[in-house]
Amino acid sequence: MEAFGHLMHGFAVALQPVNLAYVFVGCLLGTVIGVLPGIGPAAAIALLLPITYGIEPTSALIMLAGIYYGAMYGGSTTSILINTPGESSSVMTALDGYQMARNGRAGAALAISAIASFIAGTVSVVLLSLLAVPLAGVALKFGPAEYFTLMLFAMTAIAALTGPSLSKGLLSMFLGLMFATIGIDLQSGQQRYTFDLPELQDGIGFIVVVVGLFAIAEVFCGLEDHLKGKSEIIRISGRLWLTRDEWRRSVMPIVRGTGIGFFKGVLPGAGATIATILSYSVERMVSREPQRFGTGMIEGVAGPEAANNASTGGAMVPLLTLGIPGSGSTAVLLAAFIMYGLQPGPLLFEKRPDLVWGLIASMYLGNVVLLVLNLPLVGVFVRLLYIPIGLLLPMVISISAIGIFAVNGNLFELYLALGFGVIGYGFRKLAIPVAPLVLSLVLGGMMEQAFRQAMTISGADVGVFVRSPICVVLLAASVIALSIPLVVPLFKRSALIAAARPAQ
Amino acid sequence: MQVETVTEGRGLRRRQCELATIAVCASIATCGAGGAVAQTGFPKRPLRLIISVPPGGAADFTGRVLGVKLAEFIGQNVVIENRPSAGGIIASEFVVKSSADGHILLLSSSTTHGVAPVLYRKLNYDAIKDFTHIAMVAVLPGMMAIHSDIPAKTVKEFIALARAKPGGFLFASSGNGSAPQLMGEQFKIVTGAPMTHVPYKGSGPAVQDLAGGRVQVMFDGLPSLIGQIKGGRLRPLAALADKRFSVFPDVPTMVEAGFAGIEGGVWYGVSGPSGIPRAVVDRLTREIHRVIAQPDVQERFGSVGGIALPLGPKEYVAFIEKENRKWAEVIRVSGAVPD
Repeated sequence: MEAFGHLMHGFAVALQPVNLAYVFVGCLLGTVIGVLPGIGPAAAIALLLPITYGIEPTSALIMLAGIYYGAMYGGSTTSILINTPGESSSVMTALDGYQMARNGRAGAALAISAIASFIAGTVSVVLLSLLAVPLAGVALKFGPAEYFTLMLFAMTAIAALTGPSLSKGLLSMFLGLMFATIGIDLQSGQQRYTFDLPELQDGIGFIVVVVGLFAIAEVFCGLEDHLKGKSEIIRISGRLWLTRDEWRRSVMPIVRGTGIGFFKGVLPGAGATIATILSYSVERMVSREPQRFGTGMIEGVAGPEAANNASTGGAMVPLLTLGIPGSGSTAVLLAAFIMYGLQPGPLLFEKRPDLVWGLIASMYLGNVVLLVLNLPLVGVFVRLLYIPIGLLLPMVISISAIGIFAVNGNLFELYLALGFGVIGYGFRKLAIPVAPLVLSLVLGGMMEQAFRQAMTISGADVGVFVRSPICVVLLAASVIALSIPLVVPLFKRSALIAAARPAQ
Repeated sequence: MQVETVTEGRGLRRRQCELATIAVCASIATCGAGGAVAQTGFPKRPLRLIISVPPGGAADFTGRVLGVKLAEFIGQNVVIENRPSAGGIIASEFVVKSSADGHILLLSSSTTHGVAPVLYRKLNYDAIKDFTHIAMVAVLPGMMAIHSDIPAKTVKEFIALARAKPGGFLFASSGNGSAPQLMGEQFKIVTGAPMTHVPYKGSGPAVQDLAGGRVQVMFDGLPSLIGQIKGGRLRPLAALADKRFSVFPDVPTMVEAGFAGIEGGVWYGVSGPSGIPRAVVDRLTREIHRVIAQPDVQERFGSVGGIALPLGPKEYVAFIEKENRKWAEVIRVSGAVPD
């Protein structure tokens, strides 16, 4: 088989000591930087791109891919430990991961996130090796109308499935969409809702909102508990490692998450984030006890983490075969390719098989390196939770503030984060989920632009959204997602009975 | 410290160079930042070159090719930052408001300085007075490319098909008020072909939809189009230049295809906020021109149909003003306005 031969050749390239060192350094740097909120994979690659100047292109790209991988990995740690997702694709992990940590299962959450990432990452690289060339054209089937309906589905799914009630989820989602309109309109260049504040022209950054709504709100709540003298001390309950039951419950979510992640990754545009939303929604839908999601279900960590890392393999497909970047991170990788005088695209596989297959082989190795690097760290990270609250809360605040300030060096954004912290605290008290707000803020701008492009292309005919089978399926899925919270209570009795059984 | 180590390493054996790089990486990882630079004067710290589009298009290509070599010559890292927005307004405003010491620079372009100043009535900056224009870098003449399923082999056949199609064809651009949009508007004015404009966030996403066949035609510099042209999804119809591209010798110019007065392309230069000290400007102009005189840089530009055009500060301003007049006329006749 041709691909296999190429891959073996790729391993010969990637296993050269120098390249092996680059994989390792890349993964290490990526993990270290990825742990900081505010510096996601895209920023990590962009920041570290200059240090690859002067390195031979294959080695440089291998290192950059390692950084990409490492940063994807690192993002989940802060989600689980301090409820602060480092990038939008880790938001879903925080929902159940942090609750697991509060239940004393931080070790299990971190371990499953490392293991799920490893399995998903490896499988997605296998899929990439086998399917890159056949899947090359798939990305081109997705036009603005398809993207709009896909994002609509992702958003309705998250609004309907993350909170205690549909109306609260929708409230949070619409607030997010409204915040997403702030800033200079990309299509027309007009300022919208900026109140002549130059700081708002760029829009409100994801990291500002996420740090406010998650981390700072968490600190407020922790402070309140502390002052009331009822702050709970988190204890590791049971063994540090995964229990047999936890492992058993994680297997299928990892499998499904991997599939979702890879195929979503193949489609350009917010791949990883949407993949994690879809994976979480699927796990909740197939679960026999959906009402327990959000209280520390390991399925809600294993699935999205697998989806997140599988999408990195998927995103390489349009990048390598079409020269189309599927995400912010792959866009920076594309820039790196071009900088080295390589034009990703239909001819790259033919012209530079050494480079392409060397890169792919290095991704296999990167996954192993990351597992070896991260599993021992689980025990170290878990100890963070033993830090007394008087130290932990200021630490969370300072890590968050550094994360925000490092991005733009803008004081205004720190105040903005504080404001969102107050909003997040209010949401907590009212039991309104914050994830829909954060994710619709991330997707809102793209969704709006896709809508407007679709309308221009169709000549202002709304029918464009039901004309392709892909759109129809996605619209139907959105309707189903919305109706689940309405229909499910009708079956609640039987569902409760069913849920009670495995819990015993 | 970062780049100097790497570049000096080039003279050493390759292995040593690579080890040096790894050491540098490791030190960055552990200290969180490179050490202080034992140098006085300019440049004191890494330069930041702001690019007004997302990674992947012609502007990004030019900025990165320039950045790598400039870092080498100037002895400081050049960090590329992408701050995309319509008309490059966000990137321009960011640079205008930054301190005028030469460390924060804008890759000024046909979009940010050729078109935006005459397209947007209300800008918070003056494209000439609020900048120190340092050097012109390169011109990349435009190429007209269509999706390969459209059965037109020449510009004239394309126009006939556009007329026959109800509503005409759709042309993609890298954003409202971008040079690719105005090249399209210019084409409409001269040929009368019915076309509707669809703006995207940068050339990358625009070319994706063009390759997918949802929009039919695009006018842009070669870097964003060349991969898909070579892959066979796009067909080049005409060069918007007075000479054919050496990389596509069979593709005629617009004049050869029968239409005079459709000329344009994208161009790039380097500008900073107004008030950068004379000595710093001189140094930057000199080093940038030295970069684009390098044979390997010229070859890189040439491979995507670009031509190095080393203009100094005064000539660059004159060039910008000439472009402003040309596009003001296109905007007036086509009625293209934001929103």
